[in-house]
Amino acid sequence: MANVRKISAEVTSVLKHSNEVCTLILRPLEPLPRFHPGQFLHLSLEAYDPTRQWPESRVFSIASSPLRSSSLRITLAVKGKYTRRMFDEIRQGSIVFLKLPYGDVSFEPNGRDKVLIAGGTGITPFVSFLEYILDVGVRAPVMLFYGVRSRDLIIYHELLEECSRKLELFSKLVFVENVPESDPEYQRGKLDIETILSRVRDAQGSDFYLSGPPLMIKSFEATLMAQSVTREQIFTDQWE
Amino acid sequence: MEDSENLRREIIALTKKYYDSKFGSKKFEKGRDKVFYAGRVFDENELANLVDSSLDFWLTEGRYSEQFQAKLAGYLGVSDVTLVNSGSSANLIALSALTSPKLGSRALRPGDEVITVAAAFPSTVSPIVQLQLVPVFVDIELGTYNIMPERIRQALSPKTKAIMLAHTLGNPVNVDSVMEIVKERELWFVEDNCDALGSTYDGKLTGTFGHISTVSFYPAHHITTGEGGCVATNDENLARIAKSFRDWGRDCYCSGGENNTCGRRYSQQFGTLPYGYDHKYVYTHIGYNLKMTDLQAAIGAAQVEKLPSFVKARKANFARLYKGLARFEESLILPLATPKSDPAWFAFPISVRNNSRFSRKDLVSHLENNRIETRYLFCGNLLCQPAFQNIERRVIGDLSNTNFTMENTFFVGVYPGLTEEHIDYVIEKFEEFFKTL
Repeated sequence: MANVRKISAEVTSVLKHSNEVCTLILRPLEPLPRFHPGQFLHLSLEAYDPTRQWPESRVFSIASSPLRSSSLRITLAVKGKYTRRMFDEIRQGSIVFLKLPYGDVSFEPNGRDKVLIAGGTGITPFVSFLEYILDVGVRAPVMLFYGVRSRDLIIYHELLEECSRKLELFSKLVFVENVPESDPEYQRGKLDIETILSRVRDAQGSDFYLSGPPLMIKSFEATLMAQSVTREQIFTDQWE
Repeated sequence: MEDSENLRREIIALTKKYYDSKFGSKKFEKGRDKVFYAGRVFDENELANLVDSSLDFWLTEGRYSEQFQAKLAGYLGVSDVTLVNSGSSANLIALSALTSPKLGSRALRPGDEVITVAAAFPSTVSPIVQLQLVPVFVDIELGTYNIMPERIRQALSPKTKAIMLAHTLGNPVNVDSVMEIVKERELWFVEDNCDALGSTYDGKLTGTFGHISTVSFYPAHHITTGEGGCVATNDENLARIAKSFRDWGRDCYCSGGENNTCGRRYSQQFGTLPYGYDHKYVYTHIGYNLKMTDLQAAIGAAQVEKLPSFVKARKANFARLYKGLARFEESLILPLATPKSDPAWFAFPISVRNNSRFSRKDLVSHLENNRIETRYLFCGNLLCQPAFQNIERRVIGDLSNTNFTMENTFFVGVYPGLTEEHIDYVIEKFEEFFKTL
């Protein structure tokens, strides 16, 4: 993990996906430290005074490629009072305070097959990686399984389409709970680990990355391990 | 009550005024003022930063540490700089990091061999001994005072796992030769850059070739924080391990005053601890507490801004002194920059040739009597030092050049606190000495 830096950033764009989820584009006002796909940052609404403790903040996955460091992207989901404040108060032109990078989860674009499993806004830690492999290419298969309740909750749709178009070794299956059965683009229903495993050509030769609701992670982890996938093959992105 | 920010501004302004009064420029008086071999060089900015930091009363790593780290990392072009309380601690941490179980089969284990030199400052070699590794001593070249590149291969054995070398007095080791073997044998290279911050080899800064490198900020060095040092690396895994060894061996990487920056403070499994045991108190290494204070980092943050000008001054002083002493080469071995290097010289090493009509003691006494400070080349042959006489080691050859430097080598200063007037005075005193022969 590179030296953590505390910097300010200007919000250059706010894209509201729903009344609880939005994506922010941030322009760092100071040099960014090196970060890797899969790492995360702390964001605070309060001005950081370096002579005092870091103010109240929340954690967000960095959802942009480290090679596109003129801006940072994050997706914010309302989880409590502070994230509600963030959702309501952050506008284009707002100044926010960040500290980064954090996190041990990292993705190596080559090497073993990767199975990315994302529930809802859990897609965000994978977005940085997907954008990164669009930049540098990938030499091992990457499969994304992404589950949402309804089609309008699919975020980063364009990026996923771009990956499908440009990356030969990339494939995706999007699970949508409320979608007509006739829609060929999506798998109807909840994210299902059995279906996922049936699509993975070599589970023992793959690394599994799980991100989403804690219960989903716990249950998928247990199923994977019951299927002889080792703990070393499973990477989870979850915060308390 | 006055606003604290206004008071702070007033205090800083007064501090700068105090600097002018207390430390403002003084004219050099030949024969009366000492020509030091090294010393701290600073202006009102270091003093202002130090006072500013004291007014924060943060004390442990804080905003100035972050600033200093970022500036140093930027200067060296590395991802990670970990501040410690001395260059010696930096060496201990750097080598300890390579013993981490997190490195799996590449971790150094007791009995593994580390190639180094005996013409060294002790804390380049001490960590090897302290970590129950075995130093393998190779002789040095005269002139560069660095490891003899052609002898490194002779030192290899199945137990060789690392090379740990200092760039002697700022003069880079022959990096090409070292790296060729490091790559070929998959060895670790620990680069003790304590005396060489700002030196380059083949156009690249020293301290950026090794897997991990160290810097000292003792006042004699290129920049100072009083006591202090750092470990630098571009390997984020090694950086995290180094930080753990520095911070009691703990696994948690939160800075002082922070909690749960990883977001998994109570939800991880370590050892046989209960699941979710507070990550703040999980120890994955047998570590130390070797942190720097923010007061020191405040000085460093101002010093690092001066580093390019310091490096330039060191080179200029060296060049002027070299030109002035070149005529005495028949009796003196003058310093020789390693091929492809551009050293930011720590000092100006001189060896008295065997066939000279005088001894090192004669010349050094003359200089010291004229208030020109001199130093021997650190430990001479480390293996002659009481503490090192009986250590487990291997020695390649007879270390004749190392022994020669122990008997005949000394150095004088070229640090940025010296002006052309100082250097000319030193040359004058050499001339005077040779006239009396």
